[in-house]
Amino acid sequence: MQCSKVKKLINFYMDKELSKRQMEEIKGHLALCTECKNDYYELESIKKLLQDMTPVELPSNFNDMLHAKLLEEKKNLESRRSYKKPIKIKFRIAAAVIASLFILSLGFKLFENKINNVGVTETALSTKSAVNYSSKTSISSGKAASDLKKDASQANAFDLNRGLDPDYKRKITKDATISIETDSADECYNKILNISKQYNGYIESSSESSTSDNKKTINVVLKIPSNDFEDVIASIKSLGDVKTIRINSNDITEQYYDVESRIKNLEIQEEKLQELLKKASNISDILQVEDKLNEVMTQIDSYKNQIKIWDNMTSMSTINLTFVSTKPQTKISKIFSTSFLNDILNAGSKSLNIFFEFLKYVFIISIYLLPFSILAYLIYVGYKLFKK
Amino acid sequence: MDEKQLLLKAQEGDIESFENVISNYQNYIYNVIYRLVDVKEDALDLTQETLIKAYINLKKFKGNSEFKTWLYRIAVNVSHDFIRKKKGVEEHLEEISDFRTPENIFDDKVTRKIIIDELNKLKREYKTVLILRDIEGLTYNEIAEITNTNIGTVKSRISRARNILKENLKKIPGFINVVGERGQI
Repeated sequence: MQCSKVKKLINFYMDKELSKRQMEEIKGHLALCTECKNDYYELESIKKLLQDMTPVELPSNFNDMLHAKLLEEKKNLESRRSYKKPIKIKFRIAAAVIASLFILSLGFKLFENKINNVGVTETALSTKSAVNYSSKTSISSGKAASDLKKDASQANAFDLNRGLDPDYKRKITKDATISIETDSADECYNKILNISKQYNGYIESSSESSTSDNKKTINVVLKIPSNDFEDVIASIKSLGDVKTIRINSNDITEQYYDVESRIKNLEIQEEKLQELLKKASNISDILQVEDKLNEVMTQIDSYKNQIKIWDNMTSMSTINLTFVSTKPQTKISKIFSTSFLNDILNAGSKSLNIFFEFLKYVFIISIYLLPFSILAYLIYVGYKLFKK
Repeated sequence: MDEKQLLLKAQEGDIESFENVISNYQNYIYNVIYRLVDVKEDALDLTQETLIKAYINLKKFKGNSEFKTWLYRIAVNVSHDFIRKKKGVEEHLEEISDFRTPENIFDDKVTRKIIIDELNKLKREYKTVLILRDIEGLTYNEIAEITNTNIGTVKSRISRARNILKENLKKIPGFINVVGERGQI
């Protein structure tokens, strides 16, 4: 056996942790090689020194101290055992409650959306029925009017009834002002034409102007049936970047029906005057009645005009549109221009935006998952406890 | 009642049975810890900590290994934790021994002091295996279990630890010669 190998094994030889054959071999080597023998003696003497290290004794009061501590621990253990489980269970119940609240809130939101949809259809139905009803009332009021033509006071009573009747058709005018930034104003204009056709609207006026840096601005005044007002606004919003939007609605129900009842009263007056005219025999009387009749008729006309205007206003809504093209209308597209740099910057900021959007959603999703992961963790802990 | 029965009773919380079992081992544990931390007061505290830990976690002892080995393992872990924490708090003051003259080395006390000092200078894992093997006289298998390593690691650590200790002691003038002579006597 070589010295190097003996050196590797010498410690195990000393501890007698080698096979018999190896022990013999090393013993033989040590008898011959003085260097290895010295090495061995040195190691052995150190080992002996360590072995002879006088052991320390625990102080006599150690057992008493330990006993006291153990008693304390036993108490702790027992109290912990009796408290441990309820706390765990409470914890789990709490987590379950939180999680179920979460699920409930999510479910409620979905439910709420559905309810809203149902509500919309219901209101749609109710407006329909209201329309039906109003048409009925108009018929009945027609009849009533013919019945009541002779009695103005009864017409007034009818008016009062109308005021109390909740189902009469409300007269509401709607208008909106929207300004939109888009890449191509012309394209948007064409889309608006399509929309107005689709909804049986029309364009009241339109104007176009462009600034010195070739930015185009198009103004459009759009008339749309008021029933489709919301739909049209929604589809306009999707055309581009909405900068400002203002929607106005004006309830003119009171004035409208006020004028309407005035017309009725005036018509009754007119009829009476007509009868008077037939009965009148002397010229001065005729002239006086005709004068009065004329006055009443012009008033009726002016009121009827007002009603017409209002009808128009309530049946058609006005949308004032302004399109501003963000990009100048470049006729020749140059690759290397300032817009190239802008494109690069745009691309960078867009991708950054997307990235942060993504991070945001990851964060939000993780928040959504938090209660579930807590629950999962608690179940895992519970499983571990159960296993024990 | 043998150890197994006592342990079963102790696992139910019976303190007397537990004390009965550990009475055979507590001095060994105390010695190992003392050699590891080198301060008697600390060793006493840590021995207590070890035994209390053993009592609290007794249900985890499944009897896969010897109870003695299991206790040693807790002791070694507790001591290592203690050393790790202590290291940050206070630097071990290097005592400059002015008595390391060849004449003094004949003195038994001084010899021991020197060897303990050198032992304490070793890396923690080397020191641990030497204490367990040479001072406590445990087998390689037991050491592997206590230190949570395999036998190969234990062997190489013992071999390296002894060689390093020997080389370090050789640097002290006359030490090995004197000791060697005495060993042969």
